[in-house]
Amino acid sequence: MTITNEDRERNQAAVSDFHTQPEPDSCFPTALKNILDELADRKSESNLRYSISELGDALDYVENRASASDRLAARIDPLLEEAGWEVNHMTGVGYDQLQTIIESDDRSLPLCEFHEQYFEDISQHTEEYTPEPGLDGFGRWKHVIVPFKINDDTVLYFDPYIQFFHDLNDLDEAGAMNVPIQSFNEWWSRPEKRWALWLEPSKQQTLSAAFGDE
Amino acid sequence: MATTDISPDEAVRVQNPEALQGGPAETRLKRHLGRGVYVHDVHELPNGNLEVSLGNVSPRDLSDCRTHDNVLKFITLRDVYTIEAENTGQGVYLIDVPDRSDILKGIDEREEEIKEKLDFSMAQAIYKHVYDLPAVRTQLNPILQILRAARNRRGLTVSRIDENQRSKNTREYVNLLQNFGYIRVENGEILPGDRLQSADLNEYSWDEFGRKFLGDVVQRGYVTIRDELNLSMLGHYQKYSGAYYFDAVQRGKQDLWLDIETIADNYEELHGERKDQFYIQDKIGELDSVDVIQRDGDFVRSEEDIYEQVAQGTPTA
Repeated sequence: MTITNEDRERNQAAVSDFHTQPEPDSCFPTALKNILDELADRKSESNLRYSISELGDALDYVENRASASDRLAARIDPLLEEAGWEVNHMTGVGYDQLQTIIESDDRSLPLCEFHEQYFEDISQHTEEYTPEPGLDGFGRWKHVIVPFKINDDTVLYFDPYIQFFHDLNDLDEAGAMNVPIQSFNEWWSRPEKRWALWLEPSKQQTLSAAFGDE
Repeated sequence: MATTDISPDEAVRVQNPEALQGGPAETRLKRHLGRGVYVHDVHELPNGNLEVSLGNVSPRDLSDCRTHDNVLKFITLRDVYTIEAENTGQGVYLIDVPDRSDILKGIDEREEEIKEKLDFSMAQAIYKHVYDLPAVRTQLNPILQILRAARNRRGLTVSRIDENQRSKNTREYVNLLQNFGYIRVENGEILPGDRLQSADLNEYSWDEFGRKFLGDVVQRGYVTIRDELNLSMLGHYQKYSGAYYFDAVQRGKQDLWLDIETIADNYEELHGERKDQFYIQDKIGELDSVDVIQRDGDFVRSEEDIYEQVAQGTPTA
């Protein structure tokens, strides 16, 4: 099964409102904002809407110093509590699981992190931007991307730097990357093995619903 | 299907120091300290512990504004923080995870050092050129007058300078010139010092002497001149040229074209103050006229010899 034009269109429609990251190092708070907005739209839940700077504060973002990404439940869950959602993340996510998360109506889109090898390899896949190493390479910078569609042989994902460099208001054809699954796997499997983050209804919420407390 | 978050209070355990770079320990440090933080160097201390030196990278948009080559450069800062990992004696080292605020402080300090070096190497590279700018000449005039009076032994006295001060700095200039050996003061009279009498300076015409003198004080007393004597013109121009050369040197590209807006952004980043683009345009014009930078319409690029000097004096890590 390959990625069809229909897949592209549907996925691009889902992310056409994605915000461009304001700084080259604000990938994480911006990606979080984007998956929250997509979820807020889909669920008509305004309590999931936060500005990039509010999310940046939760992640201790400092310009040119990036953000922290530890203790994510403690950092993010308080913002999602009122809407009844919570953050989930784990390593060792399989491709079936990732696809399930993408397609599930009760989950946000996922975020994945790529190994710095991505920056070495990217010229084979796009000419939209050129990463150049510093004195110590890419410092093992972990690049945050949002995957949309997984098939047997390719993965379609959104690379925020393309939008950043082209100042795109809408995500067009150029903003989405379609790469062989083997390449995607190389980048996603190191240094942490296939880490992903997504949002789900909170356990508390799920239990309450099951017992009819609401 | 979620994992639990590890508390930063829990020490990172390392079994193989050689695997620290790019390994799970570094990943934990990155999660807590920021994704730009990396292990730069590890070495064993005499007490058996490990010294782990952390660096930081930050991606920066260093695109050529004319060719739009969309370059994302990973700017490196080495040695922003050092951790000592405790050797437990059982083949395991323990790293206490530092506070993120301490790392940020380390990055700030390294960045400040580099900015200082840029400023200094910029000043050294351009003084011969900016000497030809009228504003710089005007500010140097009182100093050159004192030097001329001393060399010609015109009987100028400190008290006469005090009486005829045109600026509150004149007396300070006398002190500076005295400290640098250009003049000496005997019974209140200003006389030539060793440095002024030295043969090499005597060979120059007054005009060239001024240029030579400026080079000398930039080498030996730049910080004093800039910060204490209020000779603002000397510290002025390299701020604007530095706002261009900062990017060219970081990218390692002598023929990098930047536009005025990007230079204004850099100026703000380096000096914490937003300057109007018309004002920057004006300064760039002056610098172009004395071959410190090259301008073509709204675009600016480096002069080769200036670039070489600045690149040599400004560390890029």
